[in-house]
Amino acid sequence: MTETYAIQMNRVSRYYGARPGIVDVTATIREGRLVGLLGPNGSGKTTTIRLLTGYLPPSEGEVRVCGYDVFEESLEVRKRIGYLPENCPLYPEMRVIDYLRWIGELKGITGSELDTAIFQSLGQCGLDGMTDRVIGHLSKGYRQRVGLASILLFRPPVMILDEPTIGLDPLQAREFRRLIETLRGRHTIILSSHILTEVEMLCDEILIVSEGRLVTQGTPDELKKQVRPLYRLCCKRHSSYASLLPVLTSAVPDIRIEEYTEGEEGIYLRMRTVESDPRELLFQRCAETGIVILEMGKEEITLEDVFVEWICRSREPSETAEMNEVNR
Amino acid sequence: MKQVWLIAKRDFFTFMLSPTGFLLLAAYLVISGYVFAADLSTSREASLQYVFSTFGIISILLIPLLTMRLISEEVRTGTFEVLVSAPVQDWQIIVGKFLAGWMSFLMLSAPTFSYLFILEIWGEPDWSMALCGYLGQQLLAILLVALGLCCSAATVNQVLAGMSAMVLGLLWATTHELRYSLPDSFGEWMAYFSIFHHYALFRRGIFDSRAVLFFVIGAGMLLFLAVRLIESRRWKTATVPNAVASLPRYSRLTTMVSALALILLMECVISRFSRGIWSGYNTSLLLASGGLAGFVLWRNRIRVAAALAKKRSGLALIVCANCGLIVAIWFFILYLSYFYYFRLDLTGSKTYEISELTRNVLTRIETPVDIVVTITKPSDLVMKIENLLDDYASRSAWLKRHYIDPAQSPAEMDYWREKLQLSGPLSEEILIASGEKYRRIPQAALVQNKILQVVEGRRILGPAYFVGEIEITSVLLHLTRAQPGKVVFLSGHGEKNPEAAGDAGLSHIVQELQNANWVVQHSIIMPGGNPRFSEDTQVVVIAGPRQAITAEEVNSLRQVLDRGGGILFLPEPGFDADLVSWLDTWNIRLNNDIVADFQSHLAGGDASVLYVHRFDSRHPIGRSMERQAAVLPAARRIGVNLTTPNPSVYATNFMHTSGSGWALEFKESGPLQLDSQRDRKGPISVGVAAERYQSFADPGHDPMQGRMVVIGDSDFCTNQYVELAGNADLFLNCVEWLAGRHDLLSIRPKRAEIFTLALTAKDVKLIYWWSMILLPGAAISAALFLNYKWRKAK
Repeated sequence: MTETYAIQMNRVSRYYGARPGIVDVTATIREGRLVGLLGPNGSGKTTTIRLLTGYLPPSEGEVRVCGYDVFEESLEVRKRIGYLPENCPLYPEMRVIDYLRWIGELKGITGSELDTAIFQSLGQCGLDGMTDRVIGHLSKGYRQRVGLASILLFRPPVMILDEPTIGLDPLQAREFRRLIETLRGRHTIILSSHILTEVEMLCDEILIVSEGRLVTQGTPDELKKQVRPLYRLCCKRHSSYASLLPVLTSAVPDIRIEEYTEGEEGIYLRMRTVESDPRELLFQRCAETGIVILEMGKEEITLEDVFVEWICRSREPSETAEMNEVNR
Repeated sequence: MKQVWLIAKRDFFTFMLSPTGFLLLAAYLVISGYVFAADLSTSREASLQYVFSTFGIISILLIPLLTMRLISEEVRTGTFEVLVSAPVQDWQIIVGKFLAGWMSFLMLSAPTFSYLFILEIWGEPDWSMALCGYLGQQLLAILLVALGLCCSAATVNQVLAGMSAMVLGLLWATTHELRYSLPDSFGEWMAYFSIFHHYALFRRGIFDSRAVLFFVIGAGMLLFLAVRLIESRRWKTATVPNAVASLPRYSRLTTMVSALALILLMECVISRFSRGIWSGYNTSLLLASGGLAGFVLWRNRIRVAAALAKKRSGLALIVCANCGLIVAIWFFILYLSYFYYFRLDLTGSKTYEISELTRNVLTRIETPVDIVVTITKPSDLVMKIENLLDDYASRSAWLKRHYIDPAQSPAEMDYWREKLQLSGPLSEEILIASGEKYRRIPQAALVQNKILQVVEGRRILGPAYFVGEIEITSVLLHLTRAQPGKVVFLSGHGEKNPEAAGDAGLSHIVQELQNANWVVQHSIIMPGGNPRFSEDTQVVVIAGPRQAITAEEVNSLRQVLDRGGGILFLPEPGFDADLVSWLDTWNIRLNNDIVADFQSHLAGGDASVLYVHRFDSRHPIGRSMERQAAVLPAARRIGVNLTTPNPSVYATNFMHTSGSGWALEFKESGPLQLDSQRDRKGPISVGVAAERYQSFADPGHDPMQGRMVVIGDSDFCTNQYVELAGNADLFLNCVEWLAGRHDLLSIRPKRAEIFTLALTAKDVKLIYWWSMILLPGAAISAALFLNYKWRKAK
């Protein structure tokens, strides 16, 4: 069964002294999937990636890439992994062609095979005609492409891209996404990103990490289903929010107001409930109390909602603990 | 290896094709060019040893600039992550980076090779010595590159990496300075641990296996350390134990005992420096302090264990254990190499090879000898003394060296003064003592000026050179030999005066004889008087008699021979002192001619100033002079009588001119005139040695009845010429052979041979231009061009 999984992490933890990088992460990624790795800053994304590339060893647990242990069989893993670190570090004084040739030889490709690989990867990344340019003089977008071309050279089964579109303008980011789109299915790709729309557009599967823990994993649709839907309500502006709130809670006791704004026409609210659809109950109660409803509806769930929801859930216990600490 | 080369190639070309690389090259060339040109214009010495001395310091300051970016820059910019995610081993990265750093330095130092060609244009440099210097420079470079790489692997801050490599390099290079402030053997080891101690050997033309091991294994050790440093990120680490948090605060007893241990340690150090010697008091203080520290550690063992288990401390412990192991291996190899080594003197004149005489003297020592050195500066002289004594000590276990700084250790100075009951206080000198006997060599006697040329009787002195081996070996000879020999200089017939200090006098060779433990007597004979040589006279020297030696005098000389003594006869052309027929009985034939060699003669002199370098190695004197030459200004031919030989005498011609020599007709004045019909063509014999036996049946075993050496010139041993080539050795070896002291028949310690350049002011200017303007200028132009190209590049 091992070979069907490109990546397996079994109860993996990594500590930086007393500070945990990631704690007790267990995850598997099947071959050929395009997986998004999401999490706020400092949540453990880069640590996870460094564990996968073998740059750091786990403090506990086991990480396998293509069936090889990253610590014990590090060289085998490195032969099968293409890694584009955050900010895409390259040697600025080298020409594009020289860099690709150098990295290709370092990965063990030689002769005509290397020439073909360079030609193909340049074409794939839209770098034709840029071969003689000095890397230090290229725009950020082109440098990202050079970075990607350098890992496409040897067709690695697993590609790890750490925030690849950060710093790119929207046009460049779109082109980059297109490029990644073309690689779907041929490689297992792990895409670490902050940009949720990008991940939503590209990825087959999403992993969300927070506070060093893997909080959830699944396809975008699966994840969306896990999130309670959001409802919007707009009431005519003759009552204040303070007077409105008791009315709503009396109708649906487990209602949670996520957001409210007082506009020209009335009060806009976004809310969630733990269980069923609250719209009918709210409508009845508002009619009874004479509150005029201008608009009411169910919102489409986005990945951002999923993200926020899971991050909030993961932080809740620790926030509570912090509060307890303060009170004590 | 392919991966190693790929990594090395990239770093090397990045550096060498960058403006920074060429600017560094320019800076290096300006400094070294200035040192070279300035040194050449003042000393006119065709040697690079002082330039190499400066190269040492420059390398320590410059190499960290090459190595500081190698790893820390990559870690900082993130490319290191790309590198380690490729299928490359950590050691391949380190070795690749090391090669890049070394190749960069090779590129920087390559243009300085042109200095050697400059020397070749204007003079005759000692190539093997200079090449040995370049080898030393590169060995120094590999150690410093490895050190720089280690520092670069230890931190992501480039500046910190560079500065720490510089500081560590400087400290490591100068540990030999501690020799005077530490106890004897420890001080010696600290000196042995110094980079400059080993580097100095190479720049002076000595190839020493110990120095090569020091650099190569040192570099290997540092590279291993660098690999461990970059590998350390992959080490598995545990979480922090909570045991420490629950421990109580340090107890009052712990605090007090720690303070006491610290006070004892400080007292140990302070008393060592204030009293100047390391005594039992210091040892007991150190032991007590160590004991108390051990007690504190034992009392706080849980805390120590917890601290070691902490992630950072645990890592530090692993790194320290690794370092400790490797350093221990390195020390062990250095320790072994200290005793088992070989040393080659690569100077053309074999200046630093310990002489045969010294070797013979050292093997004869059978009583303890203390050598006390109180000279602390100049450092170059001190280093030469240290190296020399290291070599001595490695050949005789009886020698014990003591280095004392008079300013720091007055107590030790007093100790030696009282022990040997010295008349005056010790100043900057070398004191050599064996039992109650001692001799003192003042600092001034260790350095002499070489005679460069003799122009119309005036001696032109060259730079100072080191004569430590001559002086120290002479003292050892005096202290360890029971009976001195006795040489008598015959006079009264116009012979050269052994007491005269002028050019024609023999005072210098007399001094040499005294150094070699000879008692020298001057036998003045009034005309018609009958000389009587005392029973203990071993050798009689007759140096250039101008009048006849009477039959009575010959009888006295015969008695010396009959007693088994020897005669050194040095007749000048045109004067035979009426000894022709007597010498005939010794199978030695005096010819009334003058020898000229039109090819092998002293530069600046005419063809009669012979430069004789052909010695017959079958004879002991010839063998002892095999690697040397002698300068004979105006010699006559000395032949062996082969027609009617005396069967009890065995005569050998042991020195002769080259094939281009001629025995010309002797004329009182006027230029030399060659008549190829009349004159005899070389090789021409100019020295004969004869031994007389009771019978000739078994020459090797029969009791010998005297020896005689005749050399056709007496000027060679005068003050004017004795210091040229191997003249002194020729004279002394003849005397030793005549006295039958075969063990001391050897090459004496030599002065450093100095090749000089004849430079005009214009030449000096040209050299300045080449080394300070053209070479660095080319590098700066290349830097500007690369900068322009970089800016223009798309």
